Amino acid sequence: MRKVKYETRVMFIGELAQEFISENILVFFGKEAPEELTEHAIVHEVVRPVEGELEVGDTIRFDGASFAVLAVGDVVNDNLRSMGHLVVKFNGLTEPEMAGDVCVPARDLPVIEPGTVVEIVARA
Amino acid sequence: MAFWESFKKVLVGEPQARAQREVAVDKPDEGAVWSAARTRASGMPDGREDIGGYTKVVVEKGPRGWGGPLTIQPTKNRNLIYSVTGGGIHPVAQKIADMTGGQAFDGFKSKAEFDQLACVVINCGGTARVGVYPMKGVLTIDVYPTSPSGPLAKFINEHNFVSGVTEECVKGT
Repeated sequence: MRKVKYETRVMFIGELAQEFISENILVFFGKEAPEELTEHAIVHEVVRPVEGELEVGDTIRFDGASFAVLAVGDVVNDNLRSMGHLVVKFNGLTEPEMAGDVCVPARDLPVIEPGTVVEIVARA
Repeated sequence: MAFWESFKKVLVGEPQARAQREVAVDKPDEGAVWSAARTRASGMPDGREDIGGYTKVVVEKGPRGWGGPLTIQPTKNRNLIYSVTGGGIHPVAQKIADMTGGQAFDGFKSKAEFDQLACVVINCGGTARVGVYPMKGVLTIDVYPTSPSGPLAKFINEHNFVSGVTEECVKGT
């Protein structure tokens, strides 16, 4: 059984989050974030706070859909811990373009709706 | 959820209607400020904001940074130095507040209107916040060395954004 490092549940999807989704980017913010950010984001409520660090080789699971983590930018873990902020780019890159990027394979984006559970699962 | 969202809209209007937002900082009565500014404006060209006792600073880009320099001049109505960095007030926001006399303000703790913000300090890794605040017309200071990027890049320019900023980049004039 692989260890779940982080678990969170989607509360709602901001009205402008589509601008990012249409560019194959999912932007998450914790529910404490100010409204100008939550309106652009998928807003979530942490179920299990992050243990350790998100790393290359981990898996991000959106309900049933799993995506291997290919690259993790330098500020990803700080952002996740301090404000529940995560930027997942479905671009297949193995080097992050931006310091805040988590890169996963360039496949169709998972369905995200209120209640979707997002987990970070440690590599085997 | 969808029902509740629409029901809420009926009750309180669209979420973007920022007038609905709770303002945690005392906002003086607009009329009173306007007339006070007018009274004091004898030596001021029309349209200038009352700068009260606030001092301006210049914020330059840091190593590998982009944009700026930005002049931050808090005014009586626009005196908040907004920190949207998580984990409290960022030292760069605190330094700008200390040098200008503005009020450092944590965006994760309380709410403010955009027209009260002298500037915003972010620690954005390049995609979301770098564009959101320039889009809203707020002078934006990123402590990370980002360049315009992301779906909102078109709103970012050298006059509303500066990055790679450290405390040493905040200078008196």
